[in-house]
Amino acid sequence: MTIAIPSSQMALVVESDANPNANRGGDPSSAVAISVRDLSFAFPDRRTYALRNISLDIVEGEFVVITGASGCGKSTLALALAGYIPHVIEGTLSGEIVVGGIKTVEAALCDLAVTVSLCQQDPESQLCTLSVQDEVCFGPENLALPVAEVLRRKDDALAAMGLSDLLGRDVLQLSGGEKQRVTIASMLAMHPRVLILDEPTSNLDPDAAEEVLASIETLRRENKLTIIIIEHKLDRLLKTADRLIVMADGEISLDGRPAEIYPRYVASLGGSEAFPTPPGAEPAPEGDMTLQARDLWFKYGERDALRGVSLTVRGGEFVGIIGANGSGKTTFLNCLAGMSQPSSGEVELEGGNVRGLKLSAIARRMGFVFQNPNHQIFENTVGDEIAFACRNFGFGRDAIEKLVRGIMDDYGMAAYERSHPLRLSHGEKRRLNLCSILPHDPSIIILDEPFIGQDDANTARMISALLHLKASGHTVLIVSHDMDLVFRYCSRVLLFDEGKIVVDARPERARDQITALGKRNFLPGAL
Amino acid sequence: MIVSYQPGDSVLHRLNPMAKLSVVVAYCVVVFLLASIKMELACLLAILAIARAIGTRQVSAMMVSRFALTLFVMIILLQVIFTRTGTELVSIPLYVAHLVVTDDGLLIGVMSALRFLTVILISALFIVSTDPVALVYSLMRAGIPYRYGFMVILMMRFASVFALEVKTVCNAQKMRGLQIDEAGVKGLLRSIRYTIVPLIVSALSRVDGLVVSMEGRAFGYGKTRTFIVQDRYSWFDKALILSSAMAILLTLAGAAVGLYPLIQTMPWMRPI
Repeated sequence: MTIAIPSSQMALVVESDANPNANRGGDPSSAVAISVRDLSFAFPDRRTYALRNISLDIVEGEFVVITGASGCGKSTLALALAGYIPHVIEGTLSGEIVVGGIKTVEAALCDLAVTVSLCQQDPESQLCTLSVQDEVCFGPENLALPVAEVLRRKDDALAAMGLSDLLGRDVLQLSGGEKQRVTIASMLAMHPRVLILDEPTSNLDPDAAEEVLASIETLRRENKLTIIIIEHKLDRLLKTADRLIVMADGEISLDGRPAEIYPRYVASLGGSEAFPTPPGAEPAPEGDMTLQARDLWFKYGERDALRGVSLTVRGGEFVGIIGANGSGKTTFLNCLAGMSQPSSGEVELEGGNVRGLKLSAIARRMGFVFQNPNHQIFENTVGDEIAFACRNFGFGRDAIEKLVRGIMDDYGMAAYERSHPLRLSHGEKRRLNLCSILPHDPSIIILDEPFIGQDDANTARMISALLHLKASGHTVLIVSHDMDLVFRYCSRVLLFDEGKIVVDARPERARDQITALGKRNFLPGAL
Repeated sequence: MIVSYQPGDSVLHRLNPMAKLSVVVAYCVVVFLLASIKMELACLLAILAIARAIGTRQVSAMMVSRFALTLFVMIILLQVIFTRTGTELVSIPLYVAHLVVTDDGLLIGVMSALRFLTVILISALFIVSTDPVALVYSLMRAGIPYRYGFMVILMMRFASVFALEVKTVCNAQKMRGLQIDEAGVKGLLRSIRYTIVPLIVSALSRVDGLVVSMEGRAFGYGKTRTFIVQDRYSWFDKALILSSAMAILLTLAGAAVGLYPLIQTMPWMRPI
């Protein structure tokens, strides 16, 4: 069997072995599950190609990880492999993809559905029914299989993902990790030969991500399924992957055994140089107290979302808030910002009680970046978007222009001033979200999951911006599931558990306390 | 006031959704054709009694809600104002003309209001006692194309997600200083403008994900599909469906032979 590598990439691939598959984890004698030849694709409204001259073979049973910077074409490749390009997403396509012996261009999408399944990153958007049973049976029911066969597939798929206990549950009651596993189970019920997972853990907390990855590993161990995972975070996956493919600018730049390819991939990123130097141990902050919460309680129906949370933060602190989904982090931030009123307890902002203050008055001193960038983009140009808050606060025209220009120059957004914000990449949108809360100079900056879906370069840029804000005396609070970044750059770590802060310490002490609590998934390097 | 499904194990809850739907349709037809305030009241009280028996307060709460009461009063007033037939009861002098209140106007007004109230309450009782998903699946099994059925399922699936997103977008606006509460209609229009675009973008991104998820599981593969849960009709369900059909036919027949005298006085229902 031959694996075609574009000539421009030859130098990057392990050259020493005559048989390319020997360098990869797949069994060379196995049949080819996916064969791609000279694949190029451009979206209709783009001048550049999202995929360029991709050729690769993936053998049956192989466990392949695909990584690369945001916008490098990973997800586009996944859509092409699963047949959504060109059946759902049109564009300029050349080359050939054969999956399980079927040419994807010629086969109907529903015929491909029993050969290859694609699971995307947001579980919320993929569940189309209201119960676990209906969701897992959805595909086999669409195939009009006999009831007994549908039920058998449902039981097998749920068992494969360790979800048999959830059978009678409503999907709205599931956690993020459970939703993602139900999504995968619903794909497995189609009996595909190839399963493609596009960043299946990016929206999940560490516990949920661990659940999903453990289920995938079990699936790989006990089934001869060909699995392709697209991921940014590689530590955990590389222990079990057969093969690592790195993409850059729509091409495969590296391809081979993870142990050989990963160091070269890291070197190609410039190692840790892309990220700013961590601040290291710092003296206790001496800035003014900017935000104080005293004994906050909050209820959702009968459930206590916050149970007596107290916190004091000062200017110049960079606080990382971690914890499982539903542990109270977002509710706490909402109470701090006045978006939710606690059932008891007080919040003081720069010495004044926020109770009774209008949100706009709080917003003058507190900038809040929400999780979904699209929920907070309101204007038609980047310049207007950055000026939006200042206009609402009644700043003068000249002052707004000067402030907006300064922010755009500082954060590298000047080139996009006249661009429509929705045409920016995800990483650029997140930077725009941050820029849009800065011109009126709030003293407190709060960001909910700023690193989700960002590649290393964009994450490094965001970290640099936050460290700059911290250095200029701002209080920065972030909620993140990225333990490595939180422990590396934050001056203080808070761990939420069941509505309470169970750890509040500097990173080095927080590490010990979290270890003592047995919550290892909340330590750096856990996943 | 929002009425929602209230899970339970009453006889009403256990009925097949299609049987309940046929009763609701029959009830609506009958109360619109009946021309007796006593009968209308009896129908209304029957609904309230059933609601009480299954242990829900949503139906009685709906009856005394501002919406229902306003509708009730408005219907009576409109009939009183615009019905000219019947015996004059009172003449109220107004600046421009006299408002003549007739016995027909009052009777038709009360009866029409009772009709609308009965329809609202029987619908509320149906909603309270019927799992919406079970209803949609029943309709699909009864022959409604499953593509349309799943449109309703998807609406139910994403209603709470979008409600949460609307809240987030509004909070995001306020956290950027947009004061919709102080700027009156202009502020409200701005808020709508700034709310719709983020929601459409979010909805479209979800649509992309949904298309991949549903098409990837062969949605639309054939004209029919399997349903793992089969509809079961007990003898009682069948009897209800049959009775509903009979009730509609008998009431229509009664109306055709002029069994309900009050109808003759309603201009819009007078036989040609």
